[in-house]
Amino acid sequence: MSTEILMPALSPTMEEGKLAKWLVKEGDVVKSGTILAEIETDKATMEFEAVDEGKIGKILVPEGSEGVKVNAPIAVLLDEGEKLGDAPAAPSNTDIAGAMKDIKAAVKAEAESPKATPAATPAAATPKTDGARIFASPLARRIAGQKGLDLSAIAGTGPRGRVVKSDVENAKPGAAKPAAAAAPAAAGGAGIPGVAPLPDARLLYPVGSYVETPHDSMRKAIARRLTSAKALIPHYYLTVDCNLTALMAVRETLNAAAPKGKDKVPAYKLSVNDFIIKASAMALMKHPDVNASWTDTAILRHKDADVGVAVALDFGLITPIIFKAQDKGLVQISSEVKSLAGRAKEKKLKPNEYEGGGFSVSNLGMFGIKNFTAVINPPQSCILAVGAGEERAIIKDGKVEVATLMTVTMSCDHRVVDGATGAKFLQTFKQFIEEPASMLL
Amino acid sequence: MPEAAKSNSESQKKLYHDMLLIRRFEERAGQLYGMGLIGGFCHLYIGQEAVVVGLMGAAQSGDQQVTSYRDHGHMLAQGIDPKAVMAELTGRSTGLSHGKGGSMHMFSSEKKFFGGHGIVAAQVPIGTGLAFANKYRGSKAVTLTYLGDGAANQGQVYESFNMAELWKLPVIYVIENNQYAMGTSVARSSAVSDFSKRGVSFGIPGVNVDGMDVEAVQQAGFEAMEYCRAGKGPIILSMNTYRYRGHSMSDPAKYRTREEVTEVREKRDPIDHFGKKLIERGVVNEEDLKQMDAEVKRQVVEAAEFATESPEPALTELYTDVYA
Repeated sequence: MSTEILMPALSPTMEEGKLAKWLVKEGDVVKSGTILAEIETDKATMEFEAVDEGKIGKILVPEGSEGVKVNAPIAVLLDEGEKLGDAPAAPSNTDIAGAMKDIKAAVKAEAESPKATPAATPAAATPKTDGARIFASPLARRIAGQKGLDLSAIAGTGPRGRVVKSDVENAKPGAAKPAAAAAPAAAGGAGIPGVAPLPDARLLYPVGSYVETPHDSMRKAIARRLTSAKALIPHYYLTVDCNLTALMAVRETLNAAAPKGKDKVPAYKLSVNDFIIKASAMALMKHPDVNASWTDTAILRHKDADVGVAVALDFGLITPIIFKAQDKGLVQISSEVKSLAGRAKEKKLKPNEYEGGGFSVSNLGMFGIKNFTAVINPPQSCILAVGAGEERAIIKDGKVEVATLMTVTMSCDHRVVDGATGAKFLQTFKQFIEEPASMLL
Repeated sequence: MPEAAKSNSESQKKLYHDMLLIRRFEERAGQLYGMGLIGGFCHLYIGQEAVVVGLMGAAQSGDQQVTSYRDHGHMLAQGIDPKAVMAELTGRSTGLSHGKGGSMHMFSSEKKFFGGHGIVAAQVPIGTGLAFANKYRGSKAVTLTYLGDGAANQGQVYESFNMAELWKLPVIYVIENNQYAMGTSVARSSAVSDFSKRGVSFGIPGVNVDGMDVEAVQQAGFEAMEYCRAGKGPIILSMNTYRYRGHSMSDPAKYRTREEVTEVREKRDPIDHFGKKLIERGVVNEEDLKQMDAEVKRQVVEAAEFATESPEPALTELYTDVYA
């Protein structure tokens, strides 16, 4: 007997959600406890487990679908040996069939009612004929469904031309959309007094000339945090060149000395960035004024050098932290960075691995970037933007020489770190980088 | 209360059966919650089944249980009809509290289940009071008072400990350490994470128990109950267990890795683990376990049907049983 797997409600208030990711595919055998999918609610991304055992016959809602209504069928589960053809399209044989019939009938009716609830089924989730998404409040959608109205034919008067309750209440079936209906939009710059919000970019491009990717929770967090950081923190920037010649030699010696395992793989391979983290940590211990956080009533000076490392992800970025980096050796720092970066890419970091920190390092040297400035990562006060190590001509004792140089730029929160304080820190940092052995002192 | 086991092998099968019943019941409850049929919150017991089943396997008729809101399993293990429990979760008039209580206000005085409470740790003074009544009346009953690792850091727990030891009350404090107080791990929330030591300053003995091994739990239960019935006072059982699901249905559980959960499921699952033992001992074969699973599933589906077909409480019930 086939069973329909329904979109679950994962919080007391959830009415619809995003089917973020399928973790099974058609043909997979599942049993109770198998994680089927990740469902994104308005608050979090949750794992959704199977209750019954069987084989995934068909996935009805593709991953990435937004606004999937609770109790809408998202997949069909088949018993062992059953084929998909045996599965009735209409819900019938769930093992709590009698009890659930009413709900399912309601869900089905909802899905089938003319253009009433986009995204209740994959067919309905596809964009309207002109390719534009229709913005409408859930209430307006429901009323439109009940009255049999086509939302695309209704002019919205809400924010950004969104169709709201009064629009559908006043609309007659078949009412044509007046020309130039889209209300002038306000988007982007939410509520800073005296600052005009940026217009919605959609207004400036022809419909269909772009691909629209809705924000996931990480993108929203990046936008929110960095907008606040750049707007609220008085940034200033200090730039210094560091000669890497000695460091490169030390690094080569240490890497050559790495013991090799049975598989001939060396136990560690130190990167320049590992040295930068260590040097930052050592410099922070000498300049506690830089290792600090601003609050409205006090400056918090951190006792340990917890150094954040910006990790680029396909879907955003995150800054996991090497805690107590002052007490850790290069090998340990190197392996922790690898582990944190790996888990960040799999979205497996725990909050206590990226929250807090006293300082951050952002390195774009591997892309050949010579120099850049970074946005401070609150609650920290400084971030070090690291450029590529490259051979440059320098003048030493009146002669031109070739040396490997790296340019770093530190962004500082002027509320916490004054110019000379930041400069002294960078002086120490530069000294540690140029004479790595001095970190041993 | 569990029926007296006919033989040792029967009693072993019953332990397995009761754990399986809780697991399948909870999975189904989770599904009903997902369909919007259970209002409010829902806290599942999946992973912790061995604790309550083992202890009920050691209890006698008349022994009492009181716990907080992760309580569905406690009721099932005490022999309460799954239909009445599920109907209460879905808020139907056929539920244990006539559909007005849900998991946080569910009782059966007939079966000696005293709730089902919504306030973390508030059941601990209640359990202590029940034990006081038992002693006062000269009853031989023991009160099993369950609390979690989070509740164990609440002040009223220690006021209760003090009185229980002072008056030598027959109460077993079962600390179900499922490793996370909502989203906070024991290591991050508890100064002393060995919960068996929580009674030290009151002179209450404590025992650490592998809460994933139903027979170890049962054995600890027998010993603790003997201690209580001998009039020696309260005792603490610290159950080292694990919950597979989030704290509640809406908890994405990002504070731990998927690998951590998978590892416990694969290496320490109380049901799989005990099922294998039963097969090794020749008590059952694979076929028996499959049959039992089918029977338990049927029972749970029946409970779900009953719970969704029963009527909601009548409007005239609005003021019945309401005191505040």
